[in-house]
Amino acid sequence: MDCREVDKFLQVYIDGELDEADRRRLQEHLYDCKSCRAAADYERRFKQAVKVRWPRSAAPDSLKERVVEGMAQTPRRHTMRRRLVFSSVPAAVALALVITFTWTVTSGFSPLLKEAVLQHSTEPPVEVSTSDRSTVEEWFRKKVDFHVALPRFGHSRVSLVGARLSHLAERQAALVSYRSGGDRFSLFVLTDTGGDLDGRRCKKIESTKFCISEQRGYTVVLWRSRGLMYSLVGDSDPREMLRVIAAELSH
Amino acid sequence: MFKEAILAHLDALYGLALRMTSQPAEAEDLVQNTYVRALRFRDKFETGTNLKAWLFKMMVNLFINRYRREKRSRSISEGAERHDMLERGFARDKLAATTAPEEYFFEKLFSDDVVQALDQLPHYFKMVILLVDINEFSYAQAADILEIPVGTVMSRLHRGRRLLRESLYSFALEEGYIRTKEAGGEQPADLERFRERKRRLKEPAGE
Repeated sequence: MDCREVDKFLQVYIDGELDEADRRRLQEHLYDCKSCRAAADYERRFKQAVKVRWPRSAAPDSLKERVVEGMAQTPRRHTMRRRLVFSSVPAAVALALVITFTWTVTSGFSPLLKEAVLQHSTEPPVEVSTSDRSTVEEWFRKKVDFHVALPRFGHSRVSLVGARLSHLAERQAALVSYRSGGDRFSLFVLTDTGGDLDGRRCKKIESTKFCISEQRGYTVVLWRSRGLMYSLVGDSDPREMLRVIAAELSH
Repeated sequence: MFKEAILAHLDALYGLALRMTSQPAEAEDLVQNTYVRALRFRDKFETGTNLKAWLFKMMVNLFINRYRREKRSRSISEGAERHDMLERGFARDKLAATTAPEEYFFEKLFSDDVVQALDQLPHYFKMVILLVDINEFSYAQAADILEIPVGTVMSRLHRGRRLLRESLYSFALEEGYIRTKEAGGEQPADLERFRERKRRLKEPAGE
């Protein structure tokens, strides 16, 4: 590296943004070249001088108050949508759906569903034990690279038990455990990478399509919402599973 | 908690907003809108990525959109004119010709001098310096915030810092913090002179 090149990359070097090989070449040049060393020192001290002199501007207290207040009044976008989708399903429609729906249980499950059922059947212990939905969502915030938004099973028999980190088909998944009477349910939440749900029995309620699969005596209900894929695995038969979901989501 | 996490960046956001808008009231509005937006789109934030950079990007976008909407490119167009002016008067070696590298004139300056000189730089030079030097973002983060290539960040930073240094140098000469070699010797920074200058600057109020 010659002086011209050093001049060109000196700031990048000082910012710590040169790659390893170039950094070494530049340093070798600096070792031998007094004037470039002086130039490097100069650049470094200039950068430092600007930073040191830069006034710390604290936000006024009134702004902080406004911001905190503003945030308290801001609804979260996905929550609004979720309410819109789920709460607008009248109970009667949901019930009619359960009664008139006849399944043809399809075969040919994806590896993802197989794994979901397998994990559900082994009853893995929860890592966070809580019955509070938002605590679980918050717990996942630092663990997975997507926002885990859970459905509101708050109304009746289905209660949240806890959650753990999981993987399905080598993808990160949030595994959330529920209980309803003696029945156990595992909800897997992962990012939706697309793919067709057709080939399974599906029913569209408002804008959400619920699809049913069965494997090894377990039932899986699949649906998509806001970029996420949900798979609810349960011990109950498909009718009962959907009855639970429809009843819960209709509230 | 997400709310607490984003609140931790309030001062930094306000600091940048103040330099972008040059008006405390506008800066406050910009920051508040940024928070409302951040909360509304919190599910778009990817865990594991830099929260501060995400907030800064949101605020920069809000600022740019507002300018587009209001068609009030006041400081941006002024900046461009100033840029031409500065570029004309600035040659790579001008500084070296007038001062020996070991003369660290910038260490004699005051905070206000630096803020004022930076404010006078064209908007796009000012932004990279604010992001990289003041807020310590990496080139890649600054590129993401400004939605420009990393190479552009690098070149703007390079030229921006030199323009800033040149402008500070003229300033230091003008104010007598330093003297050219021909004039002989240099003077230490004088607080009284500085205060006098500040008074002078404040006089044409309401501009």
